[in-house]
Amino acid sequence: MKPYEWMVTYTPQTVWIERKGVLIWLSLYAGVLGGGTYLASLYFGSLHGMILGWLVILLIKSGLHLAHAKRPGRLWRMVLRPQTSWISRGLILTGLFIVFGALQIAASMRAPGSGAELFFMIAAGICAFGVIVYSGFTMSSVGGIPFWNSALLPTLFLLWAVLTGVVVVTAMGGARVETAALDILVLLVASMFLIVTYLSVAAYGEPVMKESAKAVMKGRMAPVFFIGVVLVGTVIPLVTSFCGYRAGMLPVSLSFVLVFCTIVGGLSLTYAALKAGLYSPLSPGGR
Amino acid sequence: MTRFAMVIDLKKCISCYACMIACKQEHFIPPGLFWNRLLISETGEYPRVTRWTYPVLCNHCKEAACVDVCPTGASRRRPDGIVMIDADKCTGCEYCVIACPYQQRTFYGDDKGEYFPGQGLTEYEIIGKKLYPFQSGTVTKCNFCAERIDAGTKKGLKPGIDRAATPACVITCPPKARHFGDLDDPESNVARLVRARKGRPLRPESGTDPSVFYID
Repeated sequence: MKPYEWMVTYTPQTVWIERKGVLIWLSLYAGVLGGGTYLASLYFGSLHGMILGWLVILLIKSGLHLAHAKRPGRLWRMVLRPQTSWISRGLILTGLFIVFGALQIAASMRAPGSGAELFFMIAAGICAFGVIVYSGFTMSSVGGIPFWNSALLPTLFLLWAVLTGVVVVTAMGGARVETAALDILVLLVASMFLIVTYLSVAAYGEPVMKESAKAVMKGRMAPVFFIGVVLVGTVIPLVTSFCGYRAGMLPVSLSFVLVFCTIVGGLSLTYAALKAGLYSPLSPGGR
Repeated sequence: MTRFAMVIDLKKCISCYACMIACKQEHFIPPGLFWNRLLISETGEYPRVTRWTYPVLCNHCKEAACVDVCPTGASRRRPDGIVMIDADKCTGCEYCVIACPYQQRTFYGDDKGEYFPGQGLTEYEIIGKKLYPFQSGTVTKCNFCAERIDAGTKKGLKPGIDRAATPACVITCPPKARHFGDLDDPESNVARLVRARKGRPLRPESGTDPSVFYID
């Protein structure tokens, strides 16, 4: 974008996707991946999955946030405004998840079936849910970018998180393939439906939303969307899980292909959504 | 209550960029940063072309999106309506930069920048770093020259009337296209201009209730 086009034409947001902003993209997705893996592990009762989900949030998500921080010494201040700021809420939820998750894992190892384990499971589960949806709400609460300003975004993040979680737990052997394959199929179809709805709403919305939808479907984000989200993230997992469902089994290699595909799909989806965020021109001459 | 506001007369603006320069000078703003900008665009095709000039700055919104999203409380709205950033509290997360529908906030990341790269700091820049120290890794934006307003008000001067208590861009504007005052005072120059000439803010649909109005 040329300097004289800034806010005179549709202006893309770059803060959270270019240069150091790439870390924000990755950390938002790490929240989706870790939270989804933890929730799916709770559902299937897979302790290894819970540990993996917890580690993703502790090491990858928190690490990326720390790496992005320009003033790490002041990070503690970021939890001071939960009444209005989604970043504050998210950091509190992430911190609580790390604490409750650690206590739950410890309780599951030392005293399985105890009341303490159940309590920490519920508490950590609620926080994991919060970590997932806050990623979506952080974006959807930005009124200046109408493409993001949709309640469908947190729902889409949640759905994709659970999908990835189920796939990861299945690959780790924490879930029965016969039931998990059907879950994956249902979640994939629901995700596809939500993505189509999200883009349709944008395509028929105000001009700046149309422009964002156009960027995703026909413009600069089209390769990322059609290769990353549609082909790798949806079609390949759909075919693979359908074959697994029909056969009643899923070879280990294919289950890892599924993990790879859903992670690439989720990363592409988040990337496309962040990159397609546009601001409306300020001057009436804008187009 | 007081609510400081600015009215910009688009018919009078001659796109001279004096406001941008005055602002830079007043606050010793480092290279690459702007608190005041001029947006210039064209519509139509020759020979029926319209040229639009919009001087833009922080709108000091009543319902400021940047204040709501700030996780640290570094962004706050003063009782007189000026939206300020406390650089000592800012962590540089840039959520406010994203949230501002007018894109009037800038992240200041490079405190090594020189106006003449490789030739060292000028005397002006050295003085500026002492008088108006910008903290790298924080977000900056227009503050309606709050320090001028505060100092002037203490002396009993009236912002928008007395030069010493009025933002630099307003007193510099050669064609007097900019007006400043208290919007909540029905007799102030800005309130009268907004009423009489149907002043409108930029993108009112954002729901932020800006304090910068445009008349033409």
